Amino acid sequence: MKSILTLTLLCVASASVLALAHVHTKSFVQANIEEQKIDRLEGLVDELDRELLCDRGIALIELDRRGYGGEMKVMVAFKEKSVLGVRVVEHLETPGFNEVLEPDDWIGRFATEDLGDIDAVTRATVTTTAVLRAVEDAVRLHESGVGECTNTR
Amino acid sequence: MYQHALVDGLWRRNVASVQLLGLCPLLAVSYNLSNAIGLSVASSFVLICSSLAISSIRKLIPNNVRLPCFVLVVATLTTVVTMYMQAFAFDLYVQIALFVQIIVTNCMILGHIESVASKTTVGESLMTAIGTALGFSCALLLLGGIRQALEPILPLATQPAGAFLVAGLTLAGLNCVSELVSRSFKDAR
Repeated sequence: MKSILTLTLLCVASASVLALAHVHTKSFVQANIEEQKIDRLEGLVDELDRELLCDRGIALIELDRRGYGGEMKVMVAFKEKSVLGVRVVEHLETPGFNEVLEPDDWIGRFATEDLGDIDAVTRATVTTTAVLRAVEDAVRLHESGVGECTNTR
Repeated sequence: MYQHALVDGLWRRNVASVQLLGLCPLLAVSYNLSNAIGLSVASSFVLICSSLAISSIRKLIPNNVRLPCFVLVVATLTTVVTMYMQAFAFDLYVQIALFVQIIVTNCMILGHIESVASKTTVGESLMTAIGTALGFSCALLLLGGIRQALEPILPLATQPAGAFLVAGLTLAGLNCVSELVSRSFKDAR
């Protein structure tokens, strides 16, 4: 009985400590993550606010995909119905094989070339195929109106 | 008696160089000085606070659930540290996130709680914890400093394999020093 009581009390105490710390740090953490996302979108957009992007005619679609090492977050930007560029803002791909995701490497080709002309890269097949599929899906979603600017004003 | 705890923690029973505990984060993170400082601050905070917490409630913890209680306290404090690092030292956090999270399983901390904090007064457990934390931090900073300094002449030093080499040679050097010291003590007598 005593052990149940002690453990319960200790759990309650640690949960309260965690809740307090979470409330205190939440906004800072969110700001940091947002900033990092914008950092990783380098050269594509400098803003995550959908409405501000809409004013410039840019639509942003975010997709979660499975890469080689785990979940990746693929972001595709559209302008005037065509792909403006693609970035992977979060990933767990193997170091040494993930340089295809650097903006001046493979993933940068989406900005200048047609989707149909871009192939997967052999040594990073899983990563690049996942990105390609994600971009194809994003194009389809965009054509069906997802991420389209809704005139709320 | 308190100086005794400090000397023990720093030198005679140094967790890293004598007891060889907590080497995983030590080797993985010490490739430069800023990471080493970050991890040593985080580990020291968890070690000192958890031993304070445990030693002040040690009489309330039934023996058969002591380990869950210890792990719960350590895990809570570790999570708090990761939250604050994520909020106020994000760049550092991105570099060493994994190794801050696995402070929970650091045997140096659990070992200290089991053998000292759960058995003695708050004051003594605090002093021992400070000694242990200082010892761990010194080892981490020493290794981080050496590896960063070696980088220009020996790039291997910052690689994982280099960690083992540098750590091994540093340990050999420290053991050599402590051997010489104890021998000269014997001669003096």
